[in-house]
Amino acid sequence: MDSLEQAYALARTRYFWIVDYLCDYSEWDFLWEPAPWEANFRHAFASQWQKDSGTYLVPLNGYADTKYNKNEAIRLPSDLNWNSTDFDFDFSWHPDPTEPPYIYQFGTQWQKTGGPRYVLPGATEIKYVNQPRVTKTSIDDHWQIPDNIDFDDFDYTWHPDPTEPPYIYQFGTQWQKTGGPRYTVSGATEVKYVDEIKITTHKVATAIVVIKHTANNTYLDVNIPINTVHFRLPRNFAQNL
Amino acid sequence: MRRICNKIQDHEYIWVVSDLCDYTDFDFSWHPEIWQNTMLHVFPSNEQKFGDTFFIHLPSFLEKSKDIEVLEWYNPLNFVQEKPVKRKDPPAVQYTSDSVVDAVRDHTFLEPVVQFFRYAPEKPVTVSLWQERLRTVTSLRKGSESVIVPRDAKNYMQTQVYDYKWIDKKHKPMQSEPCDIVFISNGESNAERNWKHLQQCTEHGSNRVVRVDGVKGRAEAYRAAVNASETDWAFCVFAKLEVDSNFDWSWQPDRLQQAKHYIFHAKNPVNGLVYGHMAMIAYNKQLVLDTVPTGLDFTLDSEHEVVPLLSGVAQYANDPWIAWRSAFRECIKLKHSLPNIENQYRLEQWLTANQQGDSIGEWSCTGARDAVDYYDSVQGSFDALLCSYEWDWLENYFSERYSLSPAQLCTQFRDR
Repeated sequence: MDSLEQAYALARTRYFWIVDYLCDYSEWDFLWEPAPWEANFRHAFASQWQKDSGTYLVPLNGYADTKYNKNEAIRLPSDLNWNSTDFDFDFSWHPDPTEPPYIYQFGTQWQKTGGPRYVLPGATEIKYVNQPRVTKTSIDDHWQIPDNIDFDDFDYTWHPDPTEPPYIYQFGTQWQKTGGPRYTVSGATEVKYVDEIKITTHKVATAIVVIKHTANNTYLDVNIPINTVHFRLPRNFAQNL
Repeated sequence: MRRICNKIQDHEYIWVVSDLCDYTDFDFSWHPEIWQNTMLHVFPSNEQKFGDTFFIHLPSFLEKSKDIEVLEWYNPLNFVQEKPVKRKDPPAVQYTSDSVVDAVRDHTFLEPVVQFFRYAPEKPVTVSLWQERLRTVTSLRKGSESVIVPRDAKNYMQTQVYDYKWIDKKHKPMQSEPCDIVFISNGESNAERNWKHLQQCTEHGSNRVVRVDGVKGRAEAYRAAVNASETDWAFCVFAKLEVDSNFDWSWQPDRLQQAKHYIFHAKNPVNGLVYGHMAMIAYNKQLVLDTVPTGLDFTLDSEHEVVPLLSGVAQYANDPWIAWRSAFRECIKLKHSLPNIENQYRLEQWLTANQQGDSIGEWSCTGARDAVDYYDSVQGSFDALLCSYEWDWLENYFSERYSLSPAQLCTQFRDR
């Protein structure tokens, strides 16, 4: 159907349905009718993403207002308007038809960018969409990892936001804003500290010296005898390391 | 510290900790910022900024500590204030006398600091251990009933804690329980007025105020006074003293010294002198009970110290007999103490000054002159001077000298 006027001309019942070919109507109740006092509205139905899925029940004698209903017409994945489908991503997403045209930019678990774009014809302005997001699993080759720190639970799938100027991204630990790995964007000279993920360090110092002030024997001896000071490990040291 | 580090050069980073601290909750995974690597990181022990726990980059420390004598001079130091370590409370040792000195001397120190307490231990302060001048004696209460004493102090102490020169004067100790106040009277004409005045002056304080009345004999009166006191020292206010309304009744004796009596100042309204005569005395209970009088003055027979705080006005010149008697007794003592330039001046004032300008003031000067005459007549014989201790002897001496009894003198004065 090319236009609403064409639909009016062809319809023979009190209401007629307008449906979108990208929706799944296998479970849809086409016998649904509005309450009598809502008979003169156009009824729009939601999708899993928007309040308007492109599915409408239209009164033949015309309407002035639209009532949005929560019954969802499930939108199916499509490559229409997407710049790339090379992502592990739910491509059933669609924009709200009542919005002006945008370039919808999707992000990753780390940034507002890094995911696909949905580009409506005529759109020039970018709108960043929070959900859904791409889960990045690849690891970039921009990382530098300090060799004197022992950590293994850092998520190296992190990446910077390409809309930022180039930085050396410095990650911290549970103690400091430095001490973790670095991600260096080509050409970067300025350091930016990232605190959204931190390294958990377990051990930096490799020995403990206990200066013994008392005659009490409250610490475990370690076999490094010294004349006036004793090298000892506190009982909980092994647990802490 | 340098010696320790030299022994373990095969490590890059080490912790130096202390067996005085409790590391149960301390997380040894801590590390500095990258640019702080070469610093000496110092962790506070409780509230003590320069604590006992250090994170050290060994190569840097060995290089930078070559030319420094004191650890505090290390540069750069990084004080990790946000991560204090709990230093365990020092042992608390109770002492049972009125001075901490003997307790410290008798104690075998197993730890670098010990809290000595008379009644109850207090929350201790955390003393820095890294320099002797910082290992200070610190009083936790105003009267040093609880005091932190470093092990070093014991080596210096002879008769008082002050033999050790590092005493913390900046720490503000807690208030002590105030000393009891005992008013001692025995028929003095102005006793009731001065007793009421004392009660008014102390009604807003927390001192316990009691009165001992009618006890004969000076030493017995003092013993009765300290027995009426529930504190180790008692402010003894004599009936002729009109206490100063600004006197600080929270004053405390110093238990860092040997137990002693504290003699305050009083103003003499006749000769203008301000010194210990007739002034309030903070008597040490045990010393009073133990004293067997041998000298001319009960108080001076024991350890004592003059506290230059005005305790009041000695209203002794209300009748001519008391004025004569008080002057006579005091001037015997002053004369006996010579040569002493200060007492020489005081004696001169007693002999000559009558700021009241009345006849009672004249009897005060007469008593002073008679005392000097008597002293000269007995050539300073100590036994003869001791007679002035007794009221009866004084009455007889006066009567013989003036052919007039004290009662007659007072009657003449009133009639006039």
